[in-house]
Amino acid sequence: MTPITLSAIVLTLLSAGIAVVISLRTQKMKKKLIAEEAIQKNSLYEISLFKEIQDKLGYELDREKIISVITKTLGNMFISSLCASLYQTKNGLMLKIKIEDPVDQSFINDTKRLMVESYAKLTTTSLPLSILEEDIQGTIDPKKTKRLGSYFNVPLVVNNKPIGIITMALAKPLVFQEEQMTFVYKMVNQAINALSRLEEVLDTEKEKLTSTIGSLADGVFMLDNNEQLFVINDAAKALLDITDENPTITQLQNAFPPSFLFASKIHDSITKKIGIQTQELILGEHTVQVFITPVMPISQLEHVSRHKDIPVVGVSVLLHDITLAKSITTMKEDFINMVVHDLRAPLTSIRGAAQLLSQEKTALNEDDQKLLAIIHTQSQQLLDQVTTLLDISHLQNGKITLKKSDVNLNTMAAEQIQLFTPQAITKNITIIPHLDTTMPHVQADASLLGQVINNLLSNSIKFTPEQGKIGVTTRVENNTALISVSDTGMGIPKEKQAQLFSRFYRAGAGSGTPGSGLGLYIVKNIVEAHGGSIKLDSEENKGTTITITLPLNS
Amino acid sequence: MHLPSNPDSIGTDKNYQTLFTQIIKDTMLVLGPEITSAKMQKVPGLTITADGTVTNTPTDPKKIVKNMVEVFMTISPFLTQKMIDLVYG
Repeated sequence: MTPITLSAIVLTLLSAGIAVVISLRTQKMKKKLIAEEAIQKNSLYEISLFKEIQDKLGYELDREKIISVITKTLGNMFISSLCASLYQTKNGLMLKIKIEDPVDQSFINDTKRLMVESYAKLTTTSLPLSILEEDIQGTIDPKKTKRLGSYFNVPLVVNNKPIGIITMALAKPLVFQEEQMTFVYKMVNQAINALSRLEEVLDTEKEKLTSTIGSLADGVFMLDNNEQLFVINDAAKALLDITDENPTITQLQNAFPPSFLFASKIHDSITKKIGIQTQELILGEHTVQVFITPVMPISQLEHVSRHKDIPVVGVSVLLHDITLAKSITTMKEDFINMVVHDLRAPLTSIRGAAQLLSQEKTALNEDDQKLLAIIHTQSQQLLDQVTTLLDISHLQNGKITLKKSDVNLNTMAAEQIQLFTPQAITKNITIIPHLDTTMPHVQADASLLGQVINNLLSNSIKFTPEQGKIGVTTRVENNTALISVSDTGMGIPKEKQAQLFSRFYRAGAGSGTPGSGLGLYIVKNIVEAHGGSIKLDSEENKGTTITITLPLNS
Repeated sequence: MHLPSNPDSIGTDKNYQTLFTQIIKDTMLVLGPEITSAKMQKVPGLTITADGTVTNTPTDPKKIVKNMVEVFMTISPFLTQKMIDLVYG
């Protein structure tokens, strides 16, 4: 053999060897790539399945719904004879079985037994366990005598507490692959962990709510939309004389007087989505105001116009103790009545005596007569203020009752103008009436309405300087009767106008003009008691117009 | 997962053959025999019958516990904690 031939053979052998090595490596790489592709496909499959479950569950907190979704998804993933769940509800154990492939009763019984034993071991509970309710769907065929061949159980544990198990079972033995089963556990654990986190957040928020409600001075309790007690604070328990730490809804209901119709009010608030108030309710030694309010999700409250579509999630009840306020009001009333009665008589006497003395012009000199006039005026003013105090007290306690009769507003206005004419003449003020002759009679309390016009004219004369003008107008507009008193007086600063009708506020305070400030407050209350309204237009240093509107068909 | 502060405290005075048998049988009862057997294949050092009985004396119980925890952790953390409590309790 020549060296060339030998070299050629060696080279050929070498090339063949290299080709084999390359081929082997290529095959190895191919296998690796195929394996990686399979892993990625599995991962994508896992992700898509998990996403499917997440999409179906969302932020669901109902454990039964969650278990149902997971069980159904597993049933779709695997070929099985049946897919079952055993879980704890509020009332007891629930067993649900979905038969995919007909089996006989003994297959069902075997599955049940295994599930119960598994759950008992998981929860370290002694057997036997009683199942409250069973829901079996699918065909039980006595002819399909199959033995339980293959199964696995998935424990359901929420916040470290077992709540149930899911079981996949098949008649054929050794069917489920380890990787498939591992994936199932992983998927279920992820879904249940999401629930655990949501429940943790919910528990934290509930604790915050309980703590906030607990710190309130008013009694508060909340019911869910099944009218079951959700939370109650100590103040509510004290007012309702409940000593149990966790009272039942029945105890709560019995704490209210039967005439209050507690259950009916709660039901109405939830179903009709209305707030219900009771101004005074006697609970033992306490008098309370009761406010029942439906609770709706905050996120949906922006759609208030469609509130009939927003579900009510519960109802809150607030008990505001007014025992002290009521006793103070009673004491105040009694005091005012006492003061008024005690003051009225001597004041009337003083005024009367001053009046008599002032008529004895020959016995008194000019200075004495002036002093007497002061005594008369001031005692009259004091008498008026005392009467006003009594009126205010009656108004605030809702004791004003209207004695309605047919009232001719023009006649009333004319009478009041006549009353104030002497004062107006003294200040060189002109009172100009503009009385609508077509003005019909109105149903009103003549005495109180007279007081209203009297008060308005009195104010105008007080706050209009000399040479000024006061107009008194009556007219009919849109089925209402309008009375307005306008003047060219000092006007009311804009920043003080909003407070003008509030109790004790005087826009002219400090101007030297006398008055208690109670007049317009009483005027407003009287007008509103008639179903009317009062309006103010005023500009500083130009004048003021006050317009009263009364309904014509009241 | 609540592991004891000193995992080396796993002593030598326990009958680990009996202990591991109990753990495996309990796990079979809760999860099912197939998945338990499949997972126990990945825990070397134990010879197990079909019903979960351990037939050998474990020579390195600490390592076996560590492997069991790793293997069953993905299946059920709750059950794994119970295993640890049983071993170190």
